[in-house]
Amino acid sequence: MSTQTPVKPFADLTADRDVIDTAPGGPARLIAARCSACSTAWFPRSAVCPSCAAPDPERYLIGPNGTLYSYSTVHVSSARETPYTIGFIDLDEGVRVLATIDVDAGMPELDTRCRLQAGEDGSWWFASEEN
Amino acid sequence: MSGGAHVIGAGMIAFGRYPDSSYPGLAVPAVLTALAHAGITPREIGAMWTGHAFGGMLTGQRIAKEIGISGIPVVNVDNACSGGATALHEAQRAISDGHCDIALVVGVDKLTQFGGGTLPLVAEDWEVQQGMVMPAMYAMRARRYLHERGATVEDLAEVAVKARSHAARNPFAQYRKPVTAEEVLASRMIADPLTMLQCCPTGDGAAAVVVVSDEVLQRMRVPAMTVRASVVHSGTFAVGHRDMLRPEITYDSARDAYEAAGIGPGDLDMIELHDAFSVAELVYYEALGLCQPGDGVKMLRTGETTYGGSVVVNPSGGLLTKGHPVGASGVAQVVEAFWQLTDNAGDRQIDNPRLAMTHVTGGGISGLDHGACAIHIFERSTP
Repeated sequence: MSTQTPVKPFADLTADRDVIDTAPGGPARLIAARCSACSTAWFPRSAVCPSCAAPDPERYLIGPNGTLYSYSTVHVSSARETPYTIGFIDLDEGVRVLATIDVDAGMPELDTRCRLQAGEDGSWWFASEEN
Repeated sequence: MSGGAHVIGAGMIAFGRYPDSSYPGLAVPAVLTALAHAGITPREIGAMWTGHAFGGMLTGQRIAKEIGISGIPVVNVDNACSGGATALHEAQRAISDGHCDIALVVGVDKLTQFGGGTLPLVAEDWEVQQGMVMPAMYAMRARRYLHERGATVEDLAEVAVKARSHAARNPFAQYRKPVTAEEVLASRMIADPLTMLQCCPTGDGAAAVVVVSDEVLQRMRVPAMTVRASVVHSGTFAVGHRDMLRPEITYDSARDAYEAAGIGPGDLDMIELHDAFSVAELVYYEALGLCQPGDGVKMLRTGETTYGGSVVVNPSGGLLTKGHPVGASGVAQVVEAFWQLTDNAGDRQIDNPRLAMTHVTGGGISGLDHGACAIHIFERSTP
């Protein structure tokens, strides 16, 4: 490639925004990325490995199970309509995800198990397995 | 470091809400105070750095042109809440390397331009789109702290109680009225378990310091404080599990700062640390090496980190009660250290302090515990 062929910017604001993949009859899964060069896995997907910068990562399905690291119910926010509850889930594949947490059935203890749920409208969240 | 860098003048405005002030309106009085106390005229400034997050283009120049500073290199610095301290980092290096003899460092921000509520983080960021705001990040850290350290919400509230007791003696603080733990816990819930009085307030502010070379200090022979360490680090992107109680960016920055200064945590007389939220102070006692993990609450409750204890933490009232106009805070911490180390801190003067540390972290992007951290160590210098 000559120096005069411009590289294209990533259209990361609009490309590949879907994060949920559910096989028919199967559990909901999240679409992560995994590097073909160094095997690092991350979520959400991006064009280049955040660890070694190699391009063209693989599509990598993760979940539905993980462990709840921490969470908070937010009452004042410039980012989203309140109240809402978000938390960090450490999925079994070793990837951490920031997600909406369903606390309608109660406030779960930290380090308990959670499971990914998906709505028909494309929404997704984690719910505690303990309740 | 080839030559030394020394702070010889400082100024700030009282942090608060100033809807009638522009960015230059906030900053110019602080700058003029710092110059007057330093005995330096605007024309003598060789270079200027301005830390801010929300001032828009050329904020430093908008301030400089009001007071006859022109032609010199003026650089604007964003590192979120570490912006002001990063501006000092750049200035002291320029002085040390001999590029400049007299530098002006300014920190300024006007958060009331957003109305109220949480600060808008970068809308392009994925976690922000999920609803991440800084109080939520620290609330999750707090819940984890309660879970792992066996602490209570009353312990968190005590951080705010101490901060207010210090701010009561600081005419530059935004909130000076003492509060009880009950009042702290009864205030409005922001992000569970952090209530409003456990979160830094929305406010506006500006602070400035004058930094000079060995030669200029010798010529002027004034009380000063010498930079013994100036460290800036950025965060590490983590894809998986990350221990929110072990903020690696502060551990690493503190280790580097102590090594550069040739001292240990026990040598410090005062620390202005990043207490943007109550839990942060307790986590930073550990990360700055003041105590072992698990002993932070005991340090706080036995008075070790207030007047009469082993190190005064946040004598100014900290970000929690003095206020946290993002880019201004790092410089305001340096102003407090300067006043303390030159025996000019009024009613909150620490008894003969020799060594001070300032610490700020900048947060708010996916996958990073914090984006930036800046730590300085200063030593009293008498002519």
